[in-house]
Amino acid sequence: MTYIIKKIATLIITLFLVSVLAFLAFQIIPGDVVTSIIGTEGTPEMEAALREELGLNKPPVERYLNWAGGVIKGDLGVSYRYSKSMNEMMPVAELIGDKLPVTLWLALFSLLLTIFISIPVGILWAGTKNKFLDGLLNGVTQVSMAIPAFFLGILVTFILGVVLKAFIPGAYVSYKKDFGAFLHYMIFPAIAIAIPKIGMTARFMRNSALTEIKSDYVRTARSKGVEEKRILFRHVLRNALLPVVTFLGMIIAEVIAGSIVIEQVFALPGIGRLLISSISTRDFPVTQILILYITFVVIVVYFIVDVLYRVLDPRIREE
Amino acid sequence: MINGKPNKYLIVGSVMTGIVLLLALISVFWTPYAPTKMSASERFMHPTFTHIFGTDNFGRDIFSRVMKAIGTSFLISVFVVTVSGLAGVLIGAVTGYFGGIVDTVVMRVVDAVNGFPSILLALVMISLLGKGRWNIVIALGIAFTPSFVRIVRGEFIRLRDADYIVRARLMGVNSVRILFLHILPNVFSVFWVSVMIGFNNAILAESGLSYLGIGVQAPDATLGSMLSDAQGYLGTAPWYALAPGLTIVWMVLGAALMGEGISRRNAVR
Repeated sequence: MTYIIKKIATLIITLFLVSVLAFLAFQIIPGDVVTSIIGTEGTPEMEAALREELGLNKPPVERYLNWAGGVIKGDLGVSYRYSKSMNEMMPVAELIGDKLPVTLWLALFSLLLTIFISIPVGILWAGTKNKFLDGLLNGVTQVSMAIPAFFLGILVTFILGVVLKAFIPGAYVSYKKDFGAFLHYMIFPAIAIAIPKIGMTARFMRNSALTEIKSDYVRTARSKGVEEKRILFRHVLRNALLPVVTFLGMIIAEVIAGSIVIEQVFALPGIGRLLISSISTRDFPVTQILILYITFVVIVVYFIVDVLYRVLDPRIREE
Repeated sequence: MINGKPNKYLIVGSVMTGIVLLLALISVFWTPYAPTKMSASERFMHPTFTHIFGTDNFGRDIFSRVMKAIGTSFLISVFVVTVSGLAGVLIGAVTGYFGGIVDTVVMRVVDAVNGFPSILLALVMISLLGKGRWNIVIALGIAFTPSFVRIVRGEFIRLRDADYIVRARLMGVNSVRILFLHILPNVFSVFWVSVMIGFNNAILAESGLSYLGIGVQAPDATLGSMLSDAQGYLGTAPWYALAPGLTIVWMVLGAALMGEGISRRNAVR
């Protein structure tokens, strides 16, 4: 119990420090925001009014508290670049709102693909005595990790889209318009994200299973005459999965990072694309919030994985 | 790095990297065609003996552009590894050898940063610094430093209580001398492996950022920006995308094999 409390306290402190860093980092950027929005033709009165509206003339601590309070309440400020209409500024929350589902589905799909393919492959790989298969898997996983994400995306587009015509590249359908068509299109970017992750996780799973196979309980099961397949999937799998759970935390972080790039390749209007365009156009409120959110997600994922590992393994819990 | 028996990983990796490096060096003085020379009559020519990688949407020779682009990617990656490697050695040596509160704090930060995908860190840095090739060197240099700190620090901790170091300390050799003349040379064998890994990540990150359009800016050709241009012509000219893409894979595999070769040789010794 004390462990959980300690962990949660560390989590909160980490999140707080990250938010302070994210706030401070964007304070030191050269250039004045107000002139960049209004342009050089604004009158001093207009500038003062905008400064007041954006809350830029308050002391830093107050601005941090306002900003952080807004983040918690869902009021994320306004974009410098996008606007709703001539006189109305675009709230960042609204901008992020419709892009979030795209990225979430993409991440979920790639994660499911990774888990459901790499774990069986990894365990069968550990159990195989076939030299050729072993070499083949070794080569394939090695190469899958050497191909950069965006090139993999382009290869998937070319092979599955242009040659095999399984989908039309660039013909993204919004989830609001046709959910089925949306899911169909999302499979392909998810494959592109998942391939190197499958390679990594399968290798990890294999090594984890190989250490388990050498243990006493496997020898006992074998001498009892338990079928080899049953040993692999009933006895070894459970124990070998434990280290993989922590590894998956890293994989989730990588999947999120991967989706930033892959969204660009497949022209998906998700968080990653918004992040890249906000960086290109120096739309700092958007960049700041997105980086903060992505960081938060990564930190929380690591936290959950840590706790899960303890719940799953009674040996660590009792220490 | 020179002594010890080379193995097949090291040989194949060095040859692959050597070819790329040679092409980059030659491109400084000579390319088969001028990389920016356009030709309306020669658009989208598939690979032939005159244009071995074919031509692009402006009729430019892709092989010449790839040669130039390799040079840019190589140079940026070398700078990135130099910046992060030097910073890593300095921070890792001092924290590992002396330990204490500074070490604890630095390691906390390093651990936190290491858990993060490096492309994300690079994006944060670029968003603060802005685009452009020197900003990329700084951004990636900072993003890659923690991994070097971790490796170098580990080695310094392992060696700081070795007999010959304790003796040197007793003889009154000053700390700077111990750090850089007595310990550092023994760290190099492990350090080179992480240099290769860092070089790989630098190539991937640089081409990734250039692909996203926030890296090296036009008119300079980089492998990443060529891929991004080529993507629109996958149906008509797939070779345009394959040339820079496979070049990146080739460079990454070459450096990875070299790293593997060096670490295997270390294990033998």
